[in-house]
Amino acid sequence: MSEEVGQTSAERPRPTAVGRRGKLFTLALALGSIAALAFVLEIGARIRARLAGTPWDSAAARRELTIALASFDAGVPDDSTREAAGQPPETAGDARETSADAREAEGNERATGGLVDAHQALHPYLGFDDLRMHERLRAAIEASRSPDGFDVLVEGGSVAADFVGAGSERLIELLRAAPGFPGGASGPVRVWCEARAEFKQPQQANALACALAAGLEPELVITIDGFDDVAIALSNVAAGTHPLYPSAARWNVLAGNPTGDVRTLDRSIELRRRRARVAAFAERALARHVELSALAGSLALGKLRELRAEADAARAELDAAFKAFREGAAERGPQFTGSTDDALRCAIEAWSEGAISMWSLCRARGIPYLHVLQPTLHDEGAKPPSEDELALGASAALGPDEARDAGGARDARGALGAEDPRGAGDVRGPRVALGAEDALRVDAARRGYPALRAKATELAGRGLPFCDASRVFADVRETLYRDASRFDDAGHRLLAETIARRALEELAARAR
Amino acid sequence: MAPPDQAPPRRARLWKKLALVVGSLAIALLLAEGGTRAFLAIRGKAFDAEATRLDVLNTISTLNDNVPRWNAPREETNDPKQAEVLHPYFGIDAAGYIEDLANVVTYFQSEAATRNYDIAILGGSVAAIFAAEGAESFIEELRKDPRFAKSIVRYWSLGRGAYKQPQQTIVLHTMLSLGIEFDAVLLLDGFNEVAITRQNATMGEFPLYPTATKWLARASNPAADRELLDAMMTLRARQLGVTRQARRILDWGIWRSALASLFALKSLTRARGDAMAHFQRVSDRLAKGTVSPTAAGPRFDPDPAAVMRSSVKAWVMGSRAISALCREHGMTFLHVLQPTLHDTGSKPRTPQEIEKGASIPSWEEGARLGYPELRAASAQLIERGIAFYDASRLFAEVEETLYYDSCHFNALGNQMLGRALGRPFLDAAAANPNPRADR
Repeated sequence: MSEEVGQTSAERPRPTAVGRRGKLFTLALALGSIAALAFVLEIGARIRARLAGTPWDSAAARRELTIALASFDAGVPDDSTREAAGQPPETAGDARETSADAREAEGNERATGGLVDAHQALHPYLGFDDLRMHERLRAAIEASRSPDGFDVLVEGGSVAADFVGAGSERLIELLRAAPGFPGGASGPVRVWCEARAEFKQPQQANALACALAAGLEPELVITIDGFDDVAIALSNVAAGTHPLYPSAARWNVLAGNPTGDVRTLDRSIELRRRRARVAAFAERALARHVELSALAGSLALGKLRELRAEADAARAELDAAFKAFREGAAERGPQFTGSTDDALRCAIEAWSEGAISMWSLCRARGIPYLHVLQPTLHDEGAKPPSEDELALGASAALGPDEARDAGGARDARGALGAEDPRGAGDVRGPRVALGAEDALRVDAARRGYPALRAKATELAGRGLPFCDASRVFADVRETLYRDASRFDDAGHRLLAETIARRALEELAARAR
Repeated sequence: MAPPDQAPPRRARLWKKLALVVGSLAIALLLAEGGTRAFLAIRGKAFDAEATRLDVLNTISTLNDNVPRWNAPREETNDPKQAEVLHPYFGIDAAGYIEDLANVVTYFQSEAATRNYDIAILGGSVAAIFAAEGAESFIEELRKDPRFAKSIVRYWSLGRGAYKQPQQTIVLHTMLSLGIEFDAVLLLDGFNEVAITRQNATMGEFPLYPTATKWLARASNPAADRELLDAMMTLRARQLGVTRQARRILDWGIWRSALASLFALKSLTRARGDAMAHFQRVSDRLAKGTVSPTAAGPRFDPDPAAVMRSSVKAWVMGSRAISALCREHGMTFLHVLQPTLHDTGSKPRTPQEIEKGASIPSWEEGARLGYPELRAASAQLIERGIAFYDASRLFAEVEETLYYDSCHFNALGNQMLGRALGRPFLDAAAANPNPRADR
């Protein structure tokens, strides 16, 4: 050995042809043995599969790999835990709607599973918004900056929005007719709507702050609200959402995108990583045609299933995170453990603060302001209800589908009886069974309106220009209401007269 | 094979050699550590282990989305309470803030709230950090005045990372709606108004909307866009990598050594820069418009000058709105323009500040071009009787390192700011015609 170590390469004996052949033979033998072993294993695997009743099917293996590649290469699937409540979306049309808007609206509707109006979208400061309002606000801003004309901005919920459509003509007529009206007898008077269905404080105040910050320069701001402020607060609490939050029925659907939460996002990323591993593995297996071999194919499919199981586990973790997210602060807001009385107090405080904020914002800009408490059917003494109004107002507060979705036709006494000895069902002896949501709204009007009026007196005492229109239909016997809170054109014309009178007083006071 | 009687002396020699090597190494390390400290001291930047630890903590706090979360406790960046979620009126908020609000409401309904003097600190992350690190100095200044000498002064940190107008206005209004009435409001803002609006515009989002990197990622559905999700995955992986690196520095006590910190912080800064680059990539991807256009808000004029005009106007309008709310509720109001690194002339920048202050271009440009406009527009506020204090030149003569990124400054800077705000606040309180306590 030591001698060999001492030899140089030149001195080493060169391998002979026999030696080389021997080595090649050994190599070929080894390769042949491996191939034979693989062959035997392949045959064995096929026999085993056949004996197990599942003969090897290379086409099926290829199919499984292809499916895995196709399905696991896609993004993280949508949250499947959301259940559609089946409410058909509203189909409000708009002549100015662009095709892009329409496409976006369609996408939006699909994204929310049809749970909200196709035009509804998340808004950072209002909770949700109607997509069409963006363009309308732009038009309002441009018009309000022109030197001529008198621009009136109306804020509030659906009644305020209806008022712009049905009552503004009468309002304009009365304003122009008044001597000393700053807009003149024939100058253009434009009424702009920044009201949205189911808006309640602080949404009106935020909408005004946003519109003013965006450059709107109105000559008069009118807020018409009250009912949604108390009614939605109660329905929110029933839904486990803070009374100050936007309508839970809309917010919870739109805000239910758990991938916005970093914890769920991290799990989404983990799921994506594991799914990508499945896809990459399937791609490699397909490229190598492992399906042609029962042995390699079985091993590959085994590994594939293992990876898929890991991805499924990640999916389960993500689902759990989704669930936790849904129960978290994003949707329900700060914890609210109070009674419905507390919820009403909270709502009325917010309504009052909203009015003060809006008045303050306007005052700081020298814009006259008027806050109107809208009338509502179930406020006792608001109106002698007609037969039709009793029938419609009791069951159609949200529409039959929504009432059903909100909890079916549970007895109103069951929902509110514990706190209200009279029970919502006793009010005017409704002719139809009240849904839980209807009962909340009736109760909200009955208990909330006296408190709103009392608060309004305080606000008026501070100098806030206020108009109590809650009794504007007190002597009207004809049918005006279409449901618990919304009324027809005749009602809006009557409301316009009250508002015009009070607005003119306020304008005159400002002029002095 | 050595004879058995020679074994102990050979083994002893081996041990001796080993001990010598280890000892020399330890001495070399000690010398290097001492040398590094001496070198730093001679250069006027004496090593401060605590400052290094805070630096690492600050780095961790910036890693979730590149703007620090609410300030306390910063170590707990994985606390679910700090997870940011959609908020119906603020756009985005930390889950913890939303959940704690119930306790805040309870306090303001209590007798204590009527006795104490409660100050709300509104703004973005600089305001939040000021509340944590500078508010005590500020209150000390107030206590020098006989009016506050015996009062219990409390401050409420309402600043949130990346908030800008109209968010501060809406935060205050929401607090009032909940029955939370402060005695005073301190608004500390400016940077986000000109930097984030510019970034929003470059990403195709309405400038007055909340910061696009947070809002678009949450209001749209990034999981449905594989390319975006992949970009976010890479970003999160880098951010978590830097967090792990930073945690090692803290857990292994590396921050106690000048020498080890030198290398560790260099590596950390490099890794953070890499994460920032990926943050920019995610922003770019979000800007590509794969997200819902409705989330991006109304159409707007993307011309940078027009964006700047609307941003400055929103800042002025926001201040006027908060002033109006405060006036109506008898709350003292002081609006402060915060200092920021990329505002030309705001501070002589140290090499560390140059290295760490590098930011995305829209932020740097926003600060450079926007600050002169904010200063000019502040005249409108003063004209309307709003108590305004321009702190943008507060660090103009400070040679020490204060900034640890493009807009956030350390405890020393916050304490300086706290002391500087004492007098203007006292003046504003004296000018308040109808303070809450008197009503």
